[in-house]
Amino acid sequence: MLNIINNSNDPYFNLALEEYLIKQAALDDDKLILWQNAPAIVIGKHQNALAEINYHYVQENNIQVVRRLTGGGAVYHDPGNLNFTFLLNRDNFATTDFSVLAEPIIYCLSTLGVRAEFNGRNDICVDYKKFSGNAQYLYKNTLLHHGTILFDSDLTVLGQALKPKKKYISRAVRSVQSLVTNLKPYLPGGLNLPTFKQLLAESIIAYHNRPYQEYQLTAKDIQAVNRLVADKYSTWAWNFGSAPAFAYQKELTFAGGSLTLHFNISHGLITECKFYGDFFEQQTVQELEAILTGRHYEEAGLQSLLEKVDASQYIRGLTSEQLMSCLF
Amino acid sequence: MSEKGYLEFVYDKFVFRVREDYLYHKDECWAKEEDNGLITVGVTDYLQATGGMVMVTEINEAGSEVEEGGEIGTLEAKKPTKKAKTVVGLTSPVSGVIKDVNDNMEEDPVQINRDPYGEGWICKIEPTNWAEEKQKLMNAKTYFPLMEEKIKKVIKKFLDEGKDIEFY
Repeated sequence: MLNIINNSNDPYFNLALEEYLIKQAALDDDKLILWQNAPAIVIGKHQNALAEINYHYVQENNIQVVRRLTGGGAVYHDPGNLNFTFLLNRDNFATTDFSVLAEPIIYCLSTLGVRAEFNGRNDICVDYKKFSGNAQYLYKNTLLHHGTILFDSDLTVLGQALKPKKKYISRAVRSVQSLVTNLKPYLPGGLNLPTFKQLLAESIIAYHNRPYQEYQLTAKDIQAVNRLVADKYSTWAWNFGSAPAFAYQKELTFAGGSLTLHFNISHGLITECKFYGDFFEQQTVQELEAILTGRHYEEAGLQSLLEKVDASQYIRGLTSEQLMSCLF
Repeated sequence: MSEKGYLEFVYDKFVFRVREDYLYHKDECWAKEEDNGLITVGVTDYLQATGGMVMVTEINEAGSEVEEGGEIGTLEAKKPTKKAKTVVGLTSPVSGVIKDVNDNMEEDPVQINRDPYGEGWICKIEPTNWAEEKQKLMNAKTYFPLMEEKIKKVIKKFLDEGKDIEFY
């Protein structure tokens, strides 16, 4: 088993590294990565990012949003959270049972006097509270299993950042809210995260009981990961755009009346735009709908588009700023 | 009694089928050559049974290029008795251009579980190197024992770990 040393705290890099290792790297051995992120929300493969986050809070607090390859719901990462990733060849490790994969983490905690349990969803809990969310991706003959461990995270920020203010309608995977806790209060006093990380690595290696060595990423590895960051993990298209088709609706009252805006969004594009309501059309409202249709459902782009459009030319009394304010 | 047109491996209440007239890729997908030259692509019974109940799929758009062995999309599935969800990468058995995607999947993704060789097809591909790639695919008779071996291995693992055997 290779312990891939990854000291980056860049969420884009760290998620791209997982893809690089599962799809591109020519390293045959099973792999372990223990890693940490700067503040970020990491959403599941088939989620709609906008439906999972408090968009304005996330923006104001510089929390990055990044999509991962695995399933399940949104989680919050910060430097108080430790992540583990296993990349396992399914010829040696046929099971994809989450509880089996959680065993080395539970074992490590037992050596520290903490009784942790698997809860049958995909969480590891202590005292009936979740501290670890787990998720998987099967790619050809490799299983990627990863999980979070809340060690000493800011749970207030976590609660705020994962509290969406808007409702969207779609088949996208929704997150399940759980009662969460940090591990630190349960651990022996003075045990810090770097020490815990070391102990966890030792437990995992002991559990898998196979020849083990550390692996430092080469310049070539890093270059390839950075390419994935540029092409995919840092892009709006991947993080926000690649959500399953969804619908968005918003009501607005303004000087000239009231309206309901309806968008259908597919592959990140506004495929349908409708305005209904009680207002006076200056020019036909279909023209305004046509301007928005086919655009990316993305704030900066729509902002600069609407700066060039005078909404009141279509709907009397509606400013472009008011229209912009109800798009997200 | 096995259904006509299929090879079957039966273990307890679980039946794993292989459709006899399709071609198979080692990464658990199948190819069927249509009269119009397009290749219909889908996933094997093994993949859906070990993956779980399909909750959502995401297939590359029509018009996009695919390579033999490359990923054409993903599905997210749920184990029968668990809430845990797993993403499964779907491999293309051929190189070419996606011409059509099974739209019904958006409304009813479970049809991959119900009928992986029929209604649960994934997409249709216009192949660019079919004559050559066809040679590398397995027929049902060659694929069947490989599938059988893999299932037995998974079952052994369940038994070794003292877990209930779970397939969809």
